[in-house]
Amino acid sequence: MVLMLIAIGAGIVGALFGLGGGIIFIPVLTILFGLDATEAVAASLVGIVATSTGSATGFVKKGLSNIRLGMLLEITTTIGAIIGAIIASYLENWILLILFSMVMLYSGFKMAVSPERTEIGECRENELTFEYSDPASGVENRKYEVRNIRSGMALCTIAGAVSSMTGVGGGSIKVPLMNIYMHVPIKVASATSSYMIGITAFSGAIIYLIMGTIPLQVAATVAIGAYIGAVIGTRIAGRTNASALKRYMSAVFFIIAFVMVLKAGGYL
Amino acid sequence: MSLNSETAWILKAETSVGLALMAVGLVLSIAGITDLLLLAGIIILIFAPVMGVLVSTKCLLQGKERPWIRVAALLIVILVIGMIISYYK
Repeated sequence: MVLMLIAIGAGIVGALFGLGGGIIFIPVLTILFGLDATEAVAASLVGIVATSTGSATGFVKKGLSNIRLGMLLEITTTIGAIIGAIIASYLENWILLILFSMVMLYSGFKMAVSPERTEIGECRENELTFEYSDPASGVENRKYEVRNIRSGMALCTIAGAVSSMTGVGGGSIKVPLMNIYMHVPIKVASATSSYMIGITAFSGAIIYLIMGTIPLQVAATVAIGAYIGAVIGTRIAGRTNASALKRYMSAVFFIIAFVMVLKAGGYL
Repeated sequence: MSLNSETAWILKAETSVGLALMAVGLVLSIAGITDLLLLAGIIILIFAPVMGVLVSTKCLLQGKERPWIRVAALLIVILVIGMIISYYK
């Protein structure tokens, strides 16, 4: 029941920020429930698929998720995820925990400085020019051109590898990458990330499924809770002051990173 | 139906079925009866994003969007290669 409630909270946070929720699942499963890192990553990936599909369903239906861009970036992200999952199976537990802590610190820093690109700039008409509508923000049929596509795809390989090695959805890397570097509007970047995260998590989860390392009861509890949370999060996403919440979340991320380092060092 | 609405529909359908099986399976598993339903639910849920990609590809084929059909096809090939690698690893 406690795990289910935590998973609901993680699902809400995931839907609000375009994250997968793994950033919360991993420390909870390793520290509170005593799972080893591999089992925690495996269960987390199942939860991430649930968060992703739960939030992406609404975003895709509204046209906020850019499916075409998502599939393009997923090509290199998936390659990274496969490489990452294979590497992870050879790594020691403490290395995965340290790696996870580094991702937490990076995500916390990104959230604290809130580097959102609000000016999308001029756009030319080409295959990478899209448009979106967001009634909640009063935006209707606004065009944007995706820039730096090749280097963006290359960076997505790293996001995919980190995702499958640490059990994090990779949204904390993809959202700022799409928004700041590729000039994608923040709402579209977040919604597209939600759509992509499920595909990335699939690539990692299928490997753990075949290896038989998914703890079934834990994974199912996390998935059900995460889905409920994602549906709630999607509904409140348009009505929430995300910038204030971001600052609190970054503080929480720093604390979790510190706790995970202690666990990696055998102090917990 | 459009690319977005069809993709959203399949994501919702797969996820709903997977979660329903998991909910029932969780009860049966805790009772010590069987883990099979739990496993089936997890498998269906995990494959939901891939089904989304397949349905999106079908819509792109119908719309004859050639550059994006190539992108979708390449993604499917990579996903399949990933599954083969993980099976034989």
